[in-house]
Amino acid sequence: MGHPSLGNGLVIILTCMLLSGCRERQAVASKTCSPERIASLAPNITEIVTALGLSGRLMGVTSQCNWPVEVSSRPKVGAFWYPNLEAIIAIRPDLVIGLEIPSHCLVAARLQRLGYRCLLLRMDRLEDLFAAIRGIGEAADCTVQAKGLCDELEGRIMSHGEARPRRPRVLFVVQRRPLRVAGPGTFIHQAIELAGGANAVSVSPYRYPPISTEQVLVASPEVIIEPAGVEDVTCLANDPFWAMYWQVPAVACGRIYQVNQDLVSRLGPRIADGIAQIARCLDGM
Amino acid sequence: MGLPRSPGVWMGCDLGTELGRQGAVLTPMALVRRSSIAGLILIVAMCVALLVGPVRVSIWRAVASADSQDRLILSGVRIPRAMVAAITGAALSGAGVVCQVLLANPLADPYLLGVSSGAGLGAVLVGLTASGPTILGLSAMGLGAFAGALGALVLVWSVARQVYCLGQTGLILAGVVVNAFLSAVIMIVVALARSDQVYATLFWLIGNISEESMGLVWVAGLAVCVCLSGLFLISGRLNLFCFGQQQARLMGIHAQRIQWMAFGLAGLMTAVAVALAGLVGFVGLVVPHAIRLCLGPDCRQLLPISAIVGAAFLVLCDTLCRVVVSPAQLPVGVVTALVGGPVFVLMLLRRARGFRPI
Repeated sequence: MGHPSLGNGLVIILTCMLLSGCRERQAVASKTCSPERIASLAPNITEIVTALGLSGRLMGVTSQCNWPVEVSSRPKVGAFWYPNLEAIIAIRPDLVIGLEIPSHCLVAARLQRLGYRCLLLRMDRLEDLFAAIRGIGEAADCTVQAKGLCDELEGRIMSHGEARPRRPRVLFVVQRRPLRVAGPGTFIHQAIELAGGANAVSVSPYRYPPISTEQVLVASPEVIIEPAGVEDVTCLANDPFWAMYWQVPAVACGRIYQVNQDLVSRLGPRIADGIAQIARCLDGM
Repeated sequence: MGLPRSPGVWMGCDLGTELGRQGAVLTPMALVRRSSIAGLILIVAMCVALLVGPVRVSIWRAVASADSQDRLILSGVRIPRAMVAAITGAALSGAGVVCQVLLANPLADPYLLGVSSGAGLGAVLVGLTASGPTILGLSAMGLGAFAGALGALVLVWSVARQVYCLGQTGLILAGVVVNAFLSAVIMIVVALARSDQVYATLFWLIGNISEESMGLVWVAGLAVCVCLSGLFLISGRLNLFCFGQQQARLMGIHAQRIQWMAFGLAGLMTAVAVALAGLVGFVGLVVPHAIRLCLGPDCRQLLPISAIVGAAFLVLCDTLCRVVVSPAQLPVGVVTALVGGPVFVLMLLRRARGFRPI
């Protein structure tokens, strides 16, 4: 077939523009029981989907999805914080799974308008992880696997920090400048508790509060943990950034550690490994 | 077709000649010809936006099958998005022309009238309490931004009315003060709010073109068209503001009435643009200047042609946003500055080379 002339192309485009409003009204929500083509809008959702044994049905992931390694080569549907509607439609998903965050809510609203089935999950605390696994299990018709994964995760998560005589105060730093740490109400706070520690910033109206030098001194953490691009726990005893906090016990004793950011910052099935890394920091590696 | 009459004609001179390029009298035919060229540029830009994207789309498949993915991407994603970009670009460029003329300030842009901070405050406050789409699929943040922008306009209007004796300076100062005050309120809300939603709202405000429902697109398009038409009708009188308010009054026009009318219509257009796409910068400042450099400062052609070219410019910038780092996307405000800045400097340099001091 030859190339269309400009005139014909214009007529077609203008016709499409006029019909575009009609197309929305014709859209019918496709309610399939067992989705065969899943699009994931977040790395932790990708990890849950693959942990449920649905890797073969995962047709689209975000640019940040890097685990398991084989999903890195799957078609991309944009960035985690800014999904691309067109790229999502291009993979013809019958289930789109995202988080209850503003950018995902907006994309989901637009997809639903076009007739796509979307599942949005709240992922703030550890109990949300189990609810999300069960939710995805129901949506993807694999409730048995979901229950099995929940049971296994629960067992692994609860296995840390039992024999510790005293809970060391932990400062979990999510950002250095300005200093921002994990506060109460976060799953990291719960992870610290489950690992056998106590969050040094346990009272704050914010979930990830920015704190001053004075507050660091008052919190007096015995262990400082930072997520970073490292595979395993790494000690940062002589880091110049922390030298100014020399009065803090964690700095004085050289108990500053980096942990794998993908394990501790993503609320997914690998959070159990993240808790294990935090526990090792508390044990002094 | 008759052009809006410029009062200067009654004074024995044609402002088309006085304000425009040397010897270039603005006739209805010239305006139609130039507007048609601008319209053609917009059509080409729309075609590019519809044909280019992160996914390869076949027009023929889209036409042949109603259920094809190509049709869905074209009608459900690219067309609404291109139209949102066009409406936003037209509104900001048109409002930019009015602000620069009204305030006799080359640095004026639509956000100088307090709209940006008003929209920001509205979006942040709504972002703390509501989520999800509301009227016609417009997000709660968009609705909050629209209400905030209108509120700020009313505030600027009220202050400026009290200091009208100061002329254009009074209006500029009112806008600047309201902007500063509302920005401070935003900072207080951000500092005290316990919600992460605030940060998401601020990110949205940077300016992002996105796919809206066609109902919303048509309503917004109609509102901007009505405002542009109203401004076009008074564009001849707006020309006289180039000489200052006093001169405008001396030339026989009711300066205050025209000023408030232009202020209200430009503000409404800007509020619509902000509700659709957040605070997209640079378009309202640079496009009117670029058209002024090419065609001269006569508002009767500057206004419609700036609106059409502004629409084309934002459609092309948004297309770049979609494909440059595909499938990720860039905020459109980044691209408008990155692309528009160098192009504008080149135009300025070309103009400067051709300048012969008397």
